Amino acid sequence: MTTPRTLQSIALLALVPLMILLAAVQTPAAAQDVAASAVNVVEVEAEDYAFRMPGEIPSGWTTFQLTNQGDEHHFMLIARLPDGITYDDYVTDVAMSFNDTWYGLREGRIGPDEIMPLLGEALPEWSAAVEYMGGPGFLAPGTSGTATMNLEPGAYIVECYMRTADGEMHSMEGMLDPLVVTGERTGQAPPAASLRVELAEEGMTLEGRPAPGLNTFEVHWVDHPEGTFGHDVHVVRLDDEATTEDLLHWINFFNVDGFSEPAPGTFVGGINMMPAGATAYFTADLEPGPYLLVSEYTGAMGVLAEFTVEGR
Amino acid sequence: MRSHSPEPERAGDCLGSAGLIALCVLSCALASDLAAQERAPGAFLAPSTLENLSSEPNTVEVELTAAPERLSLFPGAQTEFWAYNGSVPGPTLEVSEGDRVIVHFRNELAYPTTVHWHGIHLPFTADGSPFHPVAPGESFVYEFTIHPGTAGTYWYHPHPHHDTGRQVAKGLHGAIIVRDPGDALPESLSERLLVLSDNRFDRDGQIDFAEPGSRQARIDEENGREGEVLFLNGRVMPELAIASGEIQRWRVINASGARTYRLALSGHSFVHVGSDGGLFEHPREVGEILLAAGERVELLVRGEGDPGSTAVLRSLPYDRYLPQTRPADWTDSLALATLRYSDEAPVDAVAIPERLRSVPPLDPDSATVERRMTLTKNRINGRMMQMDRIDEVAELGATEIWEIENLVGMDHSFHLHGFPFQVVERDGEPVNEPVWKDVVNVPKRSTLRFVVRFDRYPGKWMFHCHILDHEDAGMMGVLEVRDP
Repeated sequence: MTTPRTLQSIALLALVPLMILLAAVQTPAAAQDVAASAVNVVEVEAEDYAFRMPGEIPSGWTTFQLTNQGDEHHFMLIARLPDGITYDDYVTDVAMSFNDTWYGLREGRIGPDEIMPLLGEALPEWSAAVEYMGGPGFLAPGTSGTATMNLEPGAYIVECYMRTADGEMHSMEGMLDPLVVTGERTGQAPPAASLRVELAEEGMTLEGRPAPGLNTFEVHWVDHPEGTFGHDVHVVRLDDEATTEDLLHWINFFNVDGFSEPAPGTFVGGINMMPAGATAYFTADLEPGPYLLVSEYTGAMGVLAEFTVEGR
Repeated sequence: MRSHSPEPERAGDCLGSAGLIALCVLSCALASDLAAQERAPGAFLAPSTLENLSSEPNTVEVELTAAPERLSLFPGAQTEFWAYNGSVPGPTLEVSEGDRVIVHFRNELAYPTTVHWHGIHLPFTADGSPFHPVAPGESFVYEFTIHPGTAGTYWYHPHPHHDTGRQVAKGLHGAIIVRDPGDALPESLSERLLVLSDNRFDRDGQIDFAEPGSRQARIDEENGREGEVLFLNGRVMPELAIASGEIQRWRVINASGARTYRLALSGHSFVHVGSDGGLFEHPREVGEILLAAGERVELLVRGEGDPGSTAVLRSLPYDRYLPQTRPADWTDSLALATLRYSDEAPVDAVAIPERLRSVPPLDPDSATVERRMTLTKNRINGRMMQMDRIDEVAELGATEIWEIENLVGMDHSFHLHGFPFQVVERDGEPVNEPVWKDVVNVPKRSTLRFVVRFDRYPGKWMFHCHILDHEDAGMMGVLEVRDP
């Protein structure tokens, strides 16, 4: 029986694979500048297919600097587990349920319309209490990006569910790890931002004017759409021949040919989903030219915006 | 004394009672092997020994053939194996330190193969690595010398590129025992060679490999292929005899393609006396032993049971897996063999020396190079194996530190060809006693460091994960040792 709580769970969890995980993609030099000025930076390296990172970090405002050392895009979703739920519980009851559903879709045994009912049956009730807490989005190979969030103590997971050329989620290949956030506080203050993005059911707003160079975006989640998936935000510069429709197709997890190499554009910044009411930050190193701000799932519902960075 | 394990126990899901059926009747084995294998069903059976054809002193010259063979190891079925000299496991190569070894090998399989002399320090051309495949119908002569200090338990198996796992699973593996005339352990200890393997069979009793693209293939790709039927020297649940008070010396080889054995003997502890490269300096009392794919161990088993009693050798649950693909039955305790005490009165125990031998430590401070090997899915340092690429270059004679970092949530067993090493640190904690290793288990999300010296033999040497599916998928690299 599907309860409202479970539906919420489905909504939240199903959002995750749908998010466009565009990362705060910077040149290594720019990323180092951010790291040097931050009080608490957790350096994470992404390989094909593993994270190199500490297993335990202090709580409070935390900047994750993710460097992609692999040959494929990676991102880092962070989620806090409900009390009493372990990493193994999450892997076996949540991640594997998504993987089974993905296999069904990939192998043509189920259609997109069947995903939600199947997940409703498969996911445990506690999954409604999993809190997705941001993390750097997509990073192209050889790039680095940051996301800054305020994390409470608890048990977390970090995950990348990009897909290999064989159609396996990176999380099934090893990019799904436990993370403990301790009671020790970082003492870090949130970063100063020159730009502000608000994500709401009505759409996305951008306050401020992005400039060439490193930009810090403050992101505020006003709400998430009722009965469906939530927002995240990513900054993309499309390839010359690519369209917005190409991007929205590629970042739709339920498209069998999506979420895998090659991407239709260059990802230069982003942050994964957080709860309604939350505020967090990411950085993007921008060159002059046109960009899209897009939310993975709700982008197709109109939660996206365009901006242009003028030359100096 | 250890208590019996509380975990559920099974001896092979599809077998029922071991010993119901004669297990090891060969259809057309060599005569010497046939004699050994036609013993009573269920009894412990040591592999036969390769016959030395040489009359020269300090020379061991043998013939070894890999060929298809129908054997009845899986109860009730004639199974098409690939066997060395007609037996699974193959006959044991028994040599002594200082011996010159000549192996006349013939490949009567329909596929290229090699014979890798796992753990032996030998010339590159004799290593049986993927660089020297032996084509179907062709022969190759392996020649090498057993250097002083090598005494220990090793094994041989195929190593063709992309096909090692299948060929080992088909039955191609055998033991090597290198003896030291000055061995400190009393000669009166009865010695047992235990070659552990596992396999999977279809309904017709044939060796079963997962259908490419299937869920099982995906699980095998991740975990390495494990079989639900466990063999000890090619037999299911054999019975080892012991007398009360007796001390036996066990040489145990993990010849499985992926499975890790966490060995325990009910009601007994072990005296751990050696590892891959032979005896320790001092014996160690342990309750259990972890043996990853490719590793070996030497144990003393003390007959502490009463006359007429029995004990069970088991593999206890060990979580080496990613939770994504962890087998549902991984918490089962797997029975491997029965240890049965004779009814005779206890015999007097033999004294075990406190010092077994001197193991010269390699000095980490003399290392001129430090390398880091990062282990991820089917990759080392982010790269998959390419035969035409040299991944690392070392100088002949150099001492180096290798840091092996396992980034993922499952164990990997790391093997370096040709050059034994000594682990000096695990997760930042020093390892003080020098122990010769050639395979080392790197637990999930952990790091270890070892010191190695590239003496004597230049050439191209493999380093790889000894979970054979991982090796075959590309989790391997090439170290070239160059004479400066």
